[in-house]
Amino acid sequence: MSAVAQNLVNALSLGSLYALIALGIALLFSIMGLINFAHGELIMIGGYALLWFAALPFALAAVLAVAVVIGCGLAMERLAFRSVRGASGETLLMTSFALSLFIQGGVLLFEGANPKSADVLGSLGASVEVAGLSIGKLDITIIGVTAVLLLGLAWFLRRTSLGVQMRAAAEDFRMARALGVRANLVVATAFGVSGAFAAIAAIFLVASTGTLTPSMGLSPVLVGFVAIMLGGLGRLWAAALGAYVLALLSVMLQAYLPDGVAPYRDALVYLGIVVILVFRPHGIAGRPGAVRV
Amino acid sequence: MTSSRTSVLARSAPAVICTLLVLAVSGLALLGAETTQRTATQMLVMGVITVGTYIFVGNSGVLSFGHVVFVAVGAYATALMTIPHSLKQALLPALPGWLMELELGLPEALLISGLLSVLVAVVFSLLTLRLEGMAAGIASLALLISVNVVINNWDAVTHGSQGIVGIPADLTIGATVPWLIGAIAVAMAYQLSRSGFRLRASREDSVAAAALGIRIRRDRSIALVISAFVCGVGGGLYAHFLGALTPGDVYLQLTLLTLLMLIVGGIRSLSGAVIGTIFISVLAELLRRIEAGGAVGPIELPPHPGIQQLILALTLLLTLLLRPGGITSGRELGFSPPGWIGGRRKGSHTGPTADEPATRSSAASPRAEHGVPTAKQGHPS
Repeated sequence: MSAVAQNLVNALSLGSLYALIALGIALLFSIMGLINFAHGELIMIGGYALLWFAALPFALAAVLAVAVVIGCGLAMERLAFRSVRGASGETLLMTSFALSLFIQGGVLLFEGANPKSADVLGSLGASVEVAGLSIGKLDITIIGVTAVLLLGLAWFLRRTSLGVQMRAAAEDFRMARALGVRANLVVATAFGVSGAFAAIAAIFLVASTGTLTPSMGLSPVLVGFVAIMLGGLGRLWAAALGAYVLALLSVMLQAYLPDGVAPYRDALVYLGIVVILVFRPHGIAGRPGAVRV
Repeated sequence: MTSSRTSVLARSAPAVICTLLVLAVSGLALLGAETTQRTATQMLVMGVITVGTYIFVGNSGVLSFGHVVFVAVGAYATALMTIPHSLKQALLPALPGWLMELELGLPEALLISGLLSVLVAVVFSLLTLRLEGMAAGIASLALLISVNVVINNWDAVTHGSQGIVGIPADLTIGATVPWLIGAIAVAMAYQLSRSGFRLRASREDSVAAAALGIRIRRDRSIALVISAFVCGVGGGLYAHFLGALTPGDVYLQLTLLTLLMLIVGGIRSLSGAVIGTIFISVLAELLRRIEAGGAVGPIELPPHPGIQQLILALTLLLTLLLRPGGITSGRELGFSPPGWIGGRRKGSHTGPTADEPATRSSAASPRAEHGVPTAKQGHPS
């Protein structure tokens, strides 16, 4: 019983991290149809920023890292994505992919390919006993911070003028513009929020792994894509749901697969996702948008 | 329309010109030093893989991250079939007996590898071809990851993450060129077939194509199977080029390189795939030399790791921002009717003329309404 509970807590913590990543990607997708490969590079920059500011107190370093990543997100929008806004999904995807390789190449040039270690964990490394379970303080922090951020995002999208404009733009970008929504402001805000989420995900990621490489953004961004596709395109809460389902799937398979099959866990997870997509092509909670003939 | 024989000749022109281009570049490379020759061999192998990917991606317009799966299957299959018997016994003692005994020449092994990739493609098509757009892309990516995990862990056959060594690394320019020419011919033949026309019609407007009675999934499956065969052969060549094969060799980096070549060259035409391969291979080789540092002519350069990736990514970015259709912008190299040279861009709305050659209407100003009738006129049966 306690083993199951322990696994559930692990899944919740992992799912929270996945949800942060997935939401950052889903936000941009819902507004401009962009699947942002370069989101992983935002996470990577966040990680390196923590390293650059490592001499400062942790709270200050974290705030500065978030600021740097938001700045990078806005720069990405202005320099690359604004020129292809409105292009087909494939073009946007390939643009973000080019941008991702470009940023990786830049960091490779200045920081080198060797992994660097960063210790941001501090006192979070300890764990506490709750009802017979040993739960890492880091897990509690991840779950708590993510919950606050998800609620904050929901509040922002529902209760503020800018948030409502963003939802309008996500519903129908051209109509929203015709009704006076300022496209540049809305898109820039989306990139800013996405950048902030990436930076916070980066802090958690670095705290749990402790290493930095120029290509560290790839696997989180793949996880994010998969979570979004799993949950359903075009709805933010579905992306978060997909993230938690993916985490649950992967933790449970890890725990309960027989030894011979265990190395193939990731293969099973991804195959499972393909199978889910075959039966529900728009994700678990997605809405079909295609024209049927 | 002119008589069907001239029109078939005229429509095959892109393949002929691409072949001549490949022969010219290979011929030039034969004059060069050994490293140049090796780079050229790599370019030819990448050409087979890129053209193979083009057959599906270019004609269907569905972005696939999964084609490297076929390359991986072909590479490992060829490796296992061509490594000398004694070496296999030492390296992979757990192989099943019949596979241990098997020792084929390269051409047979390549063809069998291609067929194995076709089998994988059939499973693939059952799983992903129902999906559209982004979902298809993500599903193919998920399959690539799954297959890579399997390769990484199937120690008995693939030797896991350490990979297979001792593959005869005997590939020369002369031995590779015929395979690339074959790949170009297959791609051209598919492009000119009825199925190719139907698939391109669905690429331009899937709803209109379906309304005209085109069964898109069937044509996509056909393209995928042909594409997988060519990619499988390309994978086998790749294994023989490398000499040692690890799971990382047939994973995301190769996927990205293939897509880079296709997009920079022009994803919507066969000429684009070939030109992109040549262009990116030459550029990558130049950058590799800069990256490694040392003396380039009179200038002494320090090593710059990352500069190759930086410039290649910039090339892709600038292509997408400034010339989204790639170098060829969907056109084919070939004979063109008067008035076409310097011709019309995709956006210009000139009505279709009944007698325009099929390559033109499918490549330069493609709309489903043009593509389908042309397909029917172009193939008197």
